[in-house]
Amino acid sequence: MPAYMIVEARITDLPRFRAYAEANPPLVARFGGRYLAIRTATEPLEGDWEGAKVVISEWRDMDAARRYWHSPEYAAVKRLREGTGTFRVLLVDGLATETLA
Amino acid sequence: MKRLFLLLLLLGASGASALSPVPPKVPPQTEATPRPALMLIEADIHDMDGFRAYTQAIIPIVQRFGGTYVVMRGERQDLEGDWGTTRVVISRWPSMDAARAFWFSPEYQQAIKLRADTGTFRVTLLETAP
Repeated sequence: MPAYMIVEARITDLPRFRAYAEANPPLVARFGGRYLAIRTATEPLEGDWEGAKVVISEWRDMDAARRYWHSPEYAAVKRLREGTGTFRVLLVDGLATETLA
Repeated sequence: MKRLFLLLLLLGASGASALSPVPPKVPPQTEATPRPALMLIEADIHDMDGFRAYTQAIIPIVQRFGGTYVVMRGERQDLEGDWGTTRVVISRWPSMDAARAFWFSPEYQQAIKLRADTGTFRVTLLETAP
């Protein structure tokens, strides 16, 4: 069952955040993750999304996403975004038996 | 004889296409195929019974407008930040336009009233990456 990682970010230091934004996608790919929504058009429909950037990635299952999140490689990359904004990250199990890819 | 038949066939074909113009099968290069869209819903529900009435009402509307659910009531794990009791639902749509057509339809705008006092909600549309 595919799993989805939802990241909600409010960036306060974009120049410093860029180092993370460059280092992370290759790591996501190496661990089998696939971005469904990143830097694409967004359109808030309800509630306060002011300044929020949302990234959604798809994983083979919850464990695949956890292996990435808890890897030493990601721990190193994650340090690049310390102090660049506030982040909320949630991992959820999907309904479909097949990935969207 | 064979050549005459071929000529008639060609005339017939060109005549038919002149009478009923057939749209080109390949869309023009300038017209980009729309990307599927995701609708991300974050819900803090305090009246579950009321909210259930809403979900029952919208399922056929979602289906009619081409939406499918990707995430709903699945196992979850908070990885960072405060998610509290926030529930997350993701639906997928053929395009941003299809999702907007659903959201702004009279049917959905009527149904959304059912969840007015059942919780607080944040909803955003996201175009998918190529």
